[in-house]
Amino acid sequence: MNQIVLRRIEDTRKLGLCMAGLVKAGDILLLSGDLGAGKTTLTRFLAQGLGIDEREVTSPTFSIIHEYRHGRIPVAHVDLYRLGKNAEISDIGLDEYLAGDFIIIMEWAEFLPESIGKDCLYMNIRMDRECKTRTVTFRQQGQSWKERLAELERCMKQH
Amino acid sequence: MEPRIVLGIETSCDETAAAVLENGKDILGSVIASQIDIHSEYGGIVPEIASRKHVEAIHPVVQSALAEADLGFHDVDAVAVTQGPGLVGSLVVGLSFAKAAALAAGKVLIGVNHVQAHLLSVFLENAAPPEFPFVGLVVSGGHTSLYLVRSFLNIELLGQTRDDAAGEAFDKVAKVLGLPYPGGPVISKLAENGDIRRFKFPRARLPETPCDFSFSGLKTAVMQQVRNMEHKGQIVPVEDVCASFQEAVVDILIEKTLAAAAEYGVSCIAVSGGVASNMCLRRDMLNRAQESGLKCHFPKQEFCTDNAAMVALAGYHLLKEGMSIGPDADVYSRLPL
Repeated sequence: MNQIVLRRIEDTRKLGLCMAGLVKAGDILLLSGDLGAGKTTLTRFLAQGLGIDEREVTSPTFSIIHEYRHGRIPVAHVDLYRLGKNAEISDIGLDEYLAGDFIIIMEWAEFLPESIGKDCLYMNIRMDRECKTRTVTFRQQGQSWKERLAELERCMKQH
Repeated sequence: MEPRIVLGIETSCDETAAAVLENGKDILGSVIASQIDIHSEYGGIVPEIASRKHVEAIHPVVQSALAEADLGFHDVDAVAVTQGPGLVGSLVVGLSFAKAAALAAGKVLIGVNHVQAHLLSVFLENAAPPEFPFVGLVVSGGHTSLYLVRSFLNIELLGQTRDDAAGEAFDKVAKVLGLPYPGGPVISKLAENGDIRRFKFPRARLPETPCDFSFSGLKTAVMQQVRNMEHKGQIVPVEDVCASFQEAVVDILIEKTLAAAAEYGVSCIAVSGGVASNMCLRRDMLNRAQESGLKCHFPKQEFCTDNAAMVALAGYHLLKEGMSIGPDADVYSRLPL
């Protein structure tokens, strides 16, 4: 599975919840897509699926990193928007989250100048022009997501 | 302890600031060094540069504030510093400096919550400040929250943004329109000549949690509108987009603040934070509060954006209640729910 089309907010919720059942500590999810694509919304549903209070999940644009520690697995919610194309990963204090205890979910990953891990899942969200649907394109780096993407597809087909 | 002279230090984001406050009232000196020009030049914030600029600026800024006050460090009774929320790398500079200075000179150290400081900024140089209890709206690039303020220290969070802060929505809409950072002042300026009714942008009312805010849908709606017109080859009426967008933000900020005032039975509201310097928000909030029989308070323009006088004031009230911090205190990037 390379793509999923999301037609309504419930589809985004389902994707987030399905992913929450598959993620594990040490995962790195790299989200890209224009303003309003739904990156924070998808992160909120995923966090909710991990047992994190959804009200904790807000746009990290201003503070760059939000930490959610009260779920099944702790999450570092990162946003490179304010850094723009000068993003330097060594600058933002990400190291402590890369040690493997956290799931890293990064918005505006298109600003990443370099790879930040061997195993990453890239997710690009693209809105169609009428803004009726959103298409999520998955791209994996490393092997860890190969089987899980197949499971994600099964999960998305279930009611 | 009631400190006579409090030195306030603020480095939570783009401003390095220091201020000297006497008797919790008189600002003897206040200095702000902004980094906004530097970050605009790079087209984004570079945290490492932000931290370095704070390191370079903090000593001269503190010295200038003391010089303005015509005092030396030995005259200071207590040092109040912003502990959070904010950018960790920036907060650390202010806190480390404050700790070292306080420790070396044997001064009391007070850790201040940046949002609480904004709430109290309305008391700075204000001969007719709000009466407790009041509903306080803090609205800036990083925060959009409503509070019930019962006293200087008894403050209850009523609701906050679920996604983007209002100031963040201004910045992102500015980016969509190809306008510079920060978005607030430039959108506000262009909106003066625009039609607020040209576009009907959504207002998120959130009936189940009426004190919460959401600006993400508004931001997306503006973006869709602009991209659609661009795609059809139409000229984007930037002034009308700015006016209609600003109207939607201002409208919801006012509606929710007035509703909270009614819900909690208070007769005063106060609006603070960077977006509180928006002239349209000031004018409309004052008018609509008046129609509802409420007194509406804004800080002076200079105290809306980040400053250290508000930090010193919050520190003064904290210390009066004996609340100081030790040398092992750390910064925090966010407030708990």
